[in-house]
Amino acid sequence: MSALLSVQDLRVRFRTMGSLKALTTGTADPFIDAVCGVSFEIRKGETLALVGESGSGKSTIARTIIGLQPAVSGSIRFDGEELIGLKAAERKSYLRRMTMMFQDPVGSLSPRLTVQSLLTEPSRIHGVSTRDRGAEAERLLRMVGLPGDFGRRYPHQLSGGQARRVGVARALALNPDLIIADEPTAGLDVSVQGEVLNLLARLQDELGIAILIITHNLNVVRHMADRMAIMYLGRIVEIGSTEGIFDYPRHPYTQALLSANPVPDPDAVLNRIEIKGEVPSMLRRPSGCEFHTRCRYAQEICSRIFPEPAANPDDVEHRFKCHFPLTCETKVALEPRPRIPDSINAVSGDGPE
Amino acid sequence: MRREDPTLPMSAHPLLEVRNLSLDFGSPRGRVRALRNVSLDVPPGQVVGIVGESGSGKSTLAYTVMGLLPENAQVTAGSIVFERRNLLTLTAQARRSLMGDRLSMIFQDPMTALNPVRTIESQMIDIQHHEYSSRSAKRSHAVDMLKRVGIPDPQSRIGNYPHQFSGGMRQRICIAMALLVRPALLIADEPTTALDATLEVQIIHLLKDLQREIGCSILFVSHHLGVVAELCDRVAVMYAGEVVEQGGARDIFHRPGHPYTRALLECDPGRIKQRTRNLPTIPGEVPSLLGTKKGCIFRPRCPHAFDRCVHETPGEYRVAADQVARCHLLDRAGMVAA
Repeated sequence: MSALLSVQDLRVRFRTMGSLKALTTGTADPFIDAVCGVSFEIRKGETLALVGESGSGKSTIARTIIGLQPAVSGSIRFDGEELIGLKAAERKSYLRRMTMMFQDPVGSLSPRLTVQSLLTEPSRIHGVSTRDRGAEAERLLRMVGLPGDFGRRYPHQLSGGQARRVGVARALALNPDLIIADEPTAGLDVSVQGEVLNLLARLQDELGIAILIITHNLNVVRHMADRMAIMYLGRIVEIGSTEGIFDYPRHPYTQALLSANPVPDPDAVLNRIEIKGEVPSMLRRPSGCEFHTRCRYAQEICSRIFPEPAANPDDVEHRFKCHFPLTCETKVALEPRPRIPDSINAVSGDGPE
Repeated sequence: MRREDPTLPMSAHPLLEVRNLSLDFGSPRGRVRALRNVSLDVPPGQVVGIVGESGSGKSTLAYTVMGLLPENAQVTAGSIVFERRNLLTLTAQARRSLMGDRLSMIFQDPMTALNPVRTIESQMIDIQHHEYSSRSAKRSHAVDMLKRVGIPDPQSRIGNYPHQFSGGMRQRICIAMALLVRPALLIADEPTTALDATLEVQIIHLLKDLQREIGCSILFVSHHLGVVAELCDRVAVMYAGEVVEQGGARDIFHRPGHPYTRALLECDPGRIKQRTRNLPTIPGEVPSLLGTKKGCIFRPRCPHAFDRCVHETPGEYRVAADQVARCHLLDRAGMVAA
């Protein structure tokens, strides 16, 4: 199947200080690379998840794709057409075919508009004639499982889950081919989170939309995404099919991220790989492989040379960047093992050190 | 450092005993009954988790224990007994001497919990105002604690301001400050919600290690079932202002007695190992807490509701030796009322 969206070697930079300050402080390079040579593809009707911790650049990628943030270099092709370098007016016709759902469900809806105006605003902006706005809003509301009379409400009268549904309906208003969902379940309770994910899955099956999900919640990824990409400091360190990565992570960061997913069962603790420290600042990007400062397998070469991308021999779609990729044995180590029954006062039997 | 009180019968009494607590918030549209008939024990040296969705009153309960309620809040019934003293009838002065000494708290957002215009050093010395020791002794105590929670180079970093630390570091500093005074009870209100997954795990381990070291109890408020399962010895499940079920963590997670607990556990996608496009949910919405309601509060969303649930508020039924739940179904099953 051909790629609907193809991102090649994308680079996005942010200026950290003004040029005068850079001159006076003697900073030669007053920029940080928020996105650093990222490449991936999304096929028609497919779900790709971008996973990473805060500051890994995942939201910046989404903003660059829909044109809220200029790229320094690289290419973004949508259905074969290059988007980088297009003027705003030329870009507009593509924005009809890809829509974005922003992170904050209530905050991304204008508090001064009714739900009906919010839902018909996209058609108004793009000049799509809808003879009956009320009927159109009602159709969209029914599609996301809300009662039709919600059109008269204002965003503050909605609960978080309802506001998220309105956000989904708004994204659907122009029959897009691609929805970019930035943290679709952030701030929602578990009981509501399932509803929103089921809705997205149902709409995808019915309408054949491709979805780019941006999230840090690995539980969401497991059930929603066909493929996933793991980001660290503005780079994709591992990309492949969701099952492939969950079963057999090759990059140590992926492994740590997967094991840092607390399971709601007091008797099963994961054989946890705890990583030391925090994500380094992009201002002081580590040399070589950026993860070497926190990696437990790091050796001398990791701090000097950035690893070349490699592919899994069994699955060429599963690619990663690591000098010492994990082998099959680590998979066994990730299986939950029973916790040794300990009394409350026992000092031993604590989590792995 | 720690003022030990040998007269306290630590084994016989729970450290914190919340009994039949009810709390209302005044609002223009009427009284919001935010907590209704809440009873909860925190035994010494144990971690007690409070789980619930937003609006369940879990944070309100934590803030009531700390006495940090807004002015429109009113406790209408019940007592909170901490070390055999009722916190609700204490004078402001007596209460103040408990705060930051026997009782301390970690807040949800590490970004706003610290004073931005003062250094970590002065804030950490301030919090030891109950101690009769020199400023330099307090400072070195603070440095030791920062080292213990994993702040690199604490000697020099203690002079920094909060904005010079990252989010994870700030939450570590908050934990260090809360435990500096070696409290008997630490109240943690969603301490890991604002943090990333890998940091969350680090903070949980840190809390657990320090709790064992100091021997304090923790009242841990969270909506994250995985975190609660990992950290807590006992769990109380809250829904719409009521504790619907409580007991040992193993019992609650393996043999939940209340339909809400069961539904909540089923919803957690972390539990479902098989990939699915159809995740379980709890249909319906959390009810409004305005005014008095008759019957079981979970009835409109409960798949097993029957006539009795409409008319009668369920009492506590014993499910296991150390587990109680508020559900009429348990009465039907021939359980003995607790």
